[in-house]
Parts: sequence; C-alpha cells; structure tokens
Amino acid sequence: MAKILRVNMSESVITEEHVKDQYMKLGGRALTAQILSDEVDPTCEPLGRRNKLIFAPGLLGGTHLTSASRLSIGGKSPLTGGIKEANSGGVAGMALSRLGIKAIILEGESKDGLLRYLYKNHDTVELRIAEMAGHGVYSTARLFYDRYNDKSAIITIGSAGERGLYSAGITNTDGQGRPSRFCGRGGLGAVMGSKGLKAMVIDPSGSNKVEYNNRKAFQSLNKEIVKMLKENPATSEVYPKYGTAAMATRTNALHALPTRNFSEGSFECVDRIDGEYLYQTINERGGEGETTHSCMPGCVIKCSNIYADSSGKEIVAPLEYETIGLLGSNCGIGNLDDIAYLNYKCNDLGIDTIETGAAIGVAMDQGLVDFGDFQGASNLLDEIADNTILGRVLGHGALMTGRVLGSKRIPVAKGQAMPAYDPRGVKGLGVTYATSAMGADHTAGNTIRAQVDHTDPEPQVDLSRNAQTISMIADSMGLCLFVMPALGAHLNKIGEIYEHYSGVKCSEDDLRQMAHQALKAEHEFNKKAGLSPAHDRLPEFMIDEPLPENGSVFDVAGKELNRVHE
Amino acid sequence: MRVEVRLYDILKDRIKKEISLSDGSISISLDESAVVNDLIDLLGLEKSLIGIITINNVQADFDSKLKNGDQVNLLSQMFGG
Repeated sequence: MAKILRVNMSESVITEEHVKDQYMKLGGRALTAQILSDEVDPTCEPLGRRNKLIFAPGLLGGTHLTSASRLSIGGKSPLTGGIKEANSGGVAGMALSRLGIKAIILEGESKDGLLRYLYKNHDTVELRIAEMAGHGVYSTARLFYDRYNDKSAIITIGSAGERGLYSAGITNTDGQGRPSRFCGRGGLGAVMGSKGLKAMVIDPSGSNKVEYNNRKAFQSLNKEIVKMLKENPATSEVYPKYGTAAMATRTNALHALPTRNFSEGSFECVDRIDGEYLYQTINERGGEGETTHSCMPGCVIKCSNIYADSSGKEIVAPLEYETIGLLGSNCGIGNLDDIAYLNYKCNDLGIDTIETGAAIGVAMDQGLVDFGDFQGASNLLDEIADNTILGRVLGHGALMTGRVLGSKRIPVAKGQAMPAYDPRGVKGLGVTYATSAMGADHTAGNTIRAQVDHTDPEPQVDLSRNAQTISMIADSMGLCLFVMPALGAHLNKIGEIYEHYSGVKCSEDDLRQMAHQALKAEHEFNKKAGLSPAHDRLPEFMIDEPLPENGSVFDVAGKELNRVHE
Repeated sequence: MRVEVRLYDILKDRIKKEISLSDGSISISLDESAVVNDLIDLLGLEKSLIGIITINNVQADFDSKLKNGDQVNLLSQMFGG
C-alpha cells in the first residue's frame, strides 16, 4: 500500500501516513497542488517554516511504461510568490515509486542550524547530518555514492539552495549517477535549503511495490505505445538524434529564439548551436560524448546527450535547448563548448540555467559585461559561487538583477524568467507565460506544435488552455511531455494504461477533469497568495518593443488573457 | 520560377533519393502558380512531417503562393525543448 512520508525538520521527526482517499487518484503535479492547497497557507513566506515542499512521482511512476517516472516537486515559490511545481527525469521518481512512496512532505525548518539529508531504503528512513555543506551537486553525489549503494537516487541542492538564492533548483541523478536532472524552476532549491535539508538518498534496492492490476493488458498496451513512439518522426528521429537542441532552428525561423536579452528573435550563430551542429560535434569528438542518452531507465525516446570537449572528455550531460537559448543566444554566445561550460557551472551551484541565463542577459544589456563575452559570463557565475553582493543579486534571478541594475527589459512573468521562446514570436506560449500559475514556464503549456500563424493573437488563448491541460495530465501521470507528439491525440491510451495498472477506470474525460481541477487548485492558491490579473500580464517591453525581424509585439488583449481562467 | 529551399535535420533524409542537397539547400524549378504544397510534393516529403514553413523569413503555410527567388525554409514538427 502506498504511503506518504512526512518529514518534519523542526522536530526531526519522520512519520508514515496512509494516503487519504482524495489523494489516491492524484499523482505528480496534481498531488503536489492538492497537498499544498490543503496544508499550506498561501500567504506564507516561501522561505519560512510554514511553507512545505512536496516530492511526488506521477500516477504511472515506477511502472514499465516508457518515459513515465518523472519526479514532481511543488511548493510556494520565492520567485513567483505563488504555487510552483517543477519536474524532471532522472531515477528518483522511479526509486520512490518502487519503495511505495506516493509523496514526501517536507515541512518546518531545522532549529539547530545543522544541515541534514534524508536516507530512505526498504526498511530504514532517517535524517542524518550532511557534512557536505557548501558542496556543489557533483561532489555531493560522489560523497553519497562513496557511502551508499550505486542504485540509490540522490536528490540534492547545491550551495545556492543552501544560501536561499531564488534561482536555486533541486536536482536528481540519472542512471549513471550524474546529478544533473533538474527540477530547476521557481527557486524550489531555496525552499529545500530553508528547511535545512541538503539531500535525499533514496535506495530502492530489494523493494518493488509497483503492482499491476492487469499486467498482461498493461504490457500489451505498453508495447503499442512504444510502437507509436517509434513510428512518430519527432519521438523516433528528431529527439533521439538531435535532442531538444533541434528547437533552436525552429524558434530561430519563427523569430522566437531569445537573442541578446530578448532584443531580437533570431541569432546569427544559430547554425553553431543547433541540434545538427551538436550531433555533428559529439560524433566527431567521440570519447565520452553520446548523441543520445536516456535520463531514466527504459525511456525509448532518449532525447538526452553527453557533451564532450575536443579531447572527448565529458563537459556536461545533458546539453539542452533551453540552456542553449538562455545561456547561449540570449547572452550572444554562439559556441557550444562555452555554453556547456556555463551549464556545468550552473549545475554545480544548483541554479536554474534558464533563470541564470536570463539574469546574465539582463546584466549584459545593462553593460555589466558585453554580449558574447563567455569569460565575462563565467566570471558572473563565479560571483554567485563566491557569494558576493553582485553574485547574490544575479543568483536571485532576472527580475532582481533587472531591478538592481535599472533595466526596463526584464523578460519575466510572475517574477520568473522566460524560457527560450520569445512570446512575440510564439504568442500561444506568451499566453501560457502570462496566465499559468507557474509563471513563465514553457512546460506549462507549449503551443509551438500547433499549425497556426504563431504571431496571430486570435487562436492563442484556446491553444494555450488546451496545452496547459495536456501539460497537467503529463505532469500528474509522471509522463515526459515528449510522448505527446505520439500520444497527444490519443489521451485515452494514457487513461487506459493507468487503468490496467491501477484498476481505476480512467477515460480521456477523467484525465481532463483531473487536470482542470488541479489547474483550478493552483489558480485558487495564487489568488489567496495575493496574485491578481495584474500578475497575468507580460512585461510592457513585450508589448511596446517590436521584434526587429518581423515587427511582432505581444498583442493578446488583457481581457482575452483573463478568459483562460473562465 | 525558381525558389531556394533549405531543409533542416530529419527532412534532409526524407526527400526523394534523386534530389541532392548542398549544405541542406537546393534550388528548385516550379510552375508559376505553385504553392508550398507543390514544393513539398516535388521534394517527396510527407505533409504530416512538416511543422514550420517560412518564406523569406516570414511564417507561411501549405497554401502560401510562391514567387520567383523566394527563400523557403522547411522544418519538421517538434513538441518543444
């Protein structure tokens, strides 16, 4: 029987709880939203003891379904001031599911100032003193693997999370023990740090509590779904071969590739940072580099990669589109090696590459460092590592950086930096940035796949609403969004396979209804937290400054944006 | 008329075998009344593969009319990054 682990950091007490009936049919993001709605005062301080952090695999977590064991983490965000969920691949979602853990609720805050980690295996759960204060995520993971089973999943923050920086994320390990699968957004790493928790070591060895109601039917449908993924060109060719980096040519074509702090939408060096160049570079260099790699066991899409330097030694894994867009073109940096080094540094500090790339872009725009100056950007990351005042400003993200430096071009929504889609070029995503409870978050409702004129304001609200629903379904089932090119038009199959697993009847309508309720819960949380329609708007420079390439401005009217929540 | 076409990543491998590209690009001769659909047919590409079309750096669609000298970019579908 699945259970909930409650970890009270104020008392250093861990309790196991039965799962309430109303939580049984929720998982991942929907579950984090519901628990936060039930247990957290929306007016609380994000880094105070009243906030909570919820870790939850999705409803299909731990099963043999491909790409289904993502980990969701939810809490009140210091960046947005509202509810936040960030999710990632890696092995932690599967490890928790196999141990029969539906969620971990982290609450309170350490009273003695000591940093701890949670250790959990099949028969032990306890808080232990973490002697790796100030360590980066890579050495933290190494220290744990020196001590514990290499089958363990490590969930950890870097020094930025310990220091309460708003750009801090929470990472977990991939199948080879790399702590680089980030639940990056919203500053949830700072929330974890504020509790006094450095990490979790989750060892699933000797436990598999994933039981199928109808294993045969599950396996048969899983086979069918894998076939669909293998037949879809996006999931069988583009993502595995070129990775998410292939997005760069697409957004560049739509003038939506953030360039030099969102002042332009296409980048003259795009051919040196896109998926084809990445693929070619990794192949030519050989060594430890890999053009395709899975972030979780059993994934058939394998969109990830290992990026190696010219001697074949790994720099970072993975090197992804959002990082390329924000630390690359948005900073005027058109060299994959440079971007990979910046990526590694951000990872080690435990900061979100999107938030940090946007903050550096703002700083460059204000003349702190020239656009295109890799060494200058790297030095700014050193300021964050050294905890200087400038570093703390940058480490709090794009909005803080822009305010301190006096910028009027700050690419954020609800205080969170925009990912690598300029909302003037892809207006549906602009609607998502503006109206999602998540703030500027491409995974909250990406409309890029729609066959529409992406600069036409008219269809975007409806497109975004549907995309937000699809995202909530994926995030709650633990599914990677990248199954959607194949399954987006067959949501009934997701319901069906969940039914074979759980025995709970689940139609496409049931999935949509669950998603709508969860989206509503998030929105209600934000309303109680003090967020209003004024927060459902994009910065005015997006309305006033046309993209130089096509003259597009973000012109979806306010009353249309309000319609998202009707 | 002639148009210049640039294909990206997987589309390069999906065109008719007899068509050869130079750096992903090719100059194609078409009827004066041709639209993007005709170009896609001529290249032997499946329509369902195409996600983004631009003509002279402006987003276009399958029915967009072509004219002599146009620069066309064709990109396959993706769900995001």
